[in-house]
Amino acid sequence: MKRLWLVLVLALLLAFPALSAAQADDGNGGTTDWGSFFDANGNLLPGVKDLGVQTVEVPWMPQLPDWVPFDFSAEFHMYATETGATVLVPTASTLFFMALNPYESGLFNSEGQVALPLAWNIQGTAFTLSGAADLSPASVLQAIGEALGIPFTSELADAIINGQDAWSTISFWDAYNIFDKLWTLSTKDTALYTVFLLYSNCASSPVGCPPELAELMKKLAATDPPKVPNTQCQASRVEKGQISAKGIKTAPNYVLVTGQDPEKRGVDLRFELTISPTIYYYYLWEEVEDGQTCAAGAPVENCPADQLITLTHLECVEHKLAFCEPASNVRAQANLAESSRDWILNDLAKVYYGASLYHPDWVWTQGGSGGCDGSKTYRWQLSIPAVQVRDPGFYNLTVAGATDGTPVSEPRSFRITNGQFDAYLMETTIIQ
Amino acid sequence: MKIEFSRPSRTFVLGAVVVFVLLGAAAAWQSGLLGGKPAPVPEPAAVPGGDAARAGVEAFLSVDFSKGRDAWLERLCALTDEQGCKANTMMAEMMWAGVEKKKQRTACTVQSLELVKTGEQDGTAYQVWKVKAEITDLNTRQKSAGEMYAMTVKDGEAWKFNHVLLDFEQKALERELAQTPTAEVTP
Repeated sequence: MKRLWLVLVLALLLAFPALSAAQADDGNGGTTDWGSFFDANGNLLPGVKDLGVQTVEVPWMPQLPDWVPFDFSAEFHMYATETGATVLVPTASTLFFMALNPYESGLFNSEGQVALPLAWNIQGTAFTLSGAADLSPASVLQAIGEALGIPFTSELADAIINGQDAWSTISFWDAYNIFDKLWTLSTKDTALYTVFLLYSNCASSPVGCPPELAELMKKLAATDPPKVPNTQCQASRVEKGQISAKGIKTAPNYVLVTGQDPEKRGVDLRFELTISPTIYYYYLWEEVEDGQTCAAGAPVENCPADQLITLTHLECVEHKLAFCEPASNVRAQANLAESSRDWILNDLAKVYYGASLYHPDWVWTQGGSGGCDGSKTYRWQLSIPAVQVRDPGFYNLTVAGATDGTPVSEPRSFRITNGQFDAYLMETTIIQ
Repeated sequence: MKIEFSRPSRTFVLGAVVVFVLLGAAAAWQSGLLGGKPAPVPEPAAVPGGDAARAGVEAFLSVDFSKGRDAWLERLCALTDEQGCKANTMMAEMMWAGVEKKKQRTACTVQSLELVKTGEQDGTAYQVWKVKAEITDLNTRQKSAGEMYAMTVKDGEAWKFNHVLLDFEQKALERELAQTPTAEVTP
């Protein structure tokens, strides 16, 4: 029944003129659009893989208390081509919590813009949203709210867009009512498929690339059928994206150790991680146009159409696929410099009896948020307010962790120290 | 100034003091202050709705991947009102993939309940219970315990389990309880 309904909806969807224009550069030199997946009758095109229902544990779904050993998963019906282009159809509850946590779920990027997916179609509303560029976060939330029949109040929408805790704006009974509408909607068969999310690459989607799809993509990358044998072309290669990170002190200008600061201001820190896309280069032996000539010997511009000849030659043509490389288990660190430790234990201890190291090393593993943007770049950031620094001196800021790899590259670890701040004693402006 | 009592008056005053002391001791013993009778703990069964909350939480947190989602839901929906059944159906949609993936088998026992909120909204009488429970992993025999909130609603004449509160509902509830700590609490 669900499948039949889906086919009917897609038939309407593809017949809708605005939708046929819904396409976007896939970053691989081609375009991805709805027509890459479904024919005019709403049937899956040959070669499109129906990957069925995919469940994925994500931090933005609601949770039971920590001591309860059950995790809630997001659920999508997934379709993909062997190039990795992906259509995700979330269930009502998954869509709702995606919208409620747009930064964590990757719908909005860290700058508050609609980042993913490339194109949307939201059924049953006045909205047919195509192409991320012309979308505003407010319009996306409004459309999702309408599709679900759970209108977001402007207060709630503002909180969501500002990255605040959306539930802090509503009462217990309102929360119950929203939940009540959601579960009523979830039990209606036809409401399951109201939103279609199109991604140019599975790696950019919340589901990632399931092993079955990754295997297909690898095969394509290795054996993409050229028109003629490509034995004369060089082997494919992978260029891993650059990993860069930095730590920044955002406030205050002068940091006092909290033991001497009656206001206990502490220091505000921000850590950022950027992983450029990994590029898979492959080469195909293809016909390349050299230009045109006229068989009749006339200038091309005056040549009759039936006399016009296109000149070509064969050569190896470079193609590329871009993959986002997300990171997991990212940790941020602030470590007191060795010179400052020596200064506290030797020089300062001579002046202040009992001077010692109290908390020279800080590590944060929670609270960061990251996602892939439209350029396949993974961006992660973490802000930590009012760190209560106790030891004076220079602190080196480090971001470390491991990537998840891509379909064409293995996971890799990283540790980047880039950034420093200083914490002072009130009595002296000299630290080492 | 010196106050003197006549003999009958002294007897009366002494008697009154003895009676007063005895009454005070009895009250202290009754309240548990003297380590005698334990302080009265609200008996869940005594408050209508407590049994529904207990049964619902125990059913919700007792899963067996081998028996399947439908069996779990069927057992749960027998304890809930109609809307509660829908709520737990949605929760099953989000939760059961993980239960099957991890081949989870659990048993839950509720240890205590506390009624923290009652109310009536849109014609629905409801209760919210703070429930202390223990879960045993039947595969590893490991135990975990903690607190959660459960909602019950009046369905006709009976109280029925509705659903366990998710994190966002819990936040909204705790914020309201903090703002009006005693407004709707039934002792």
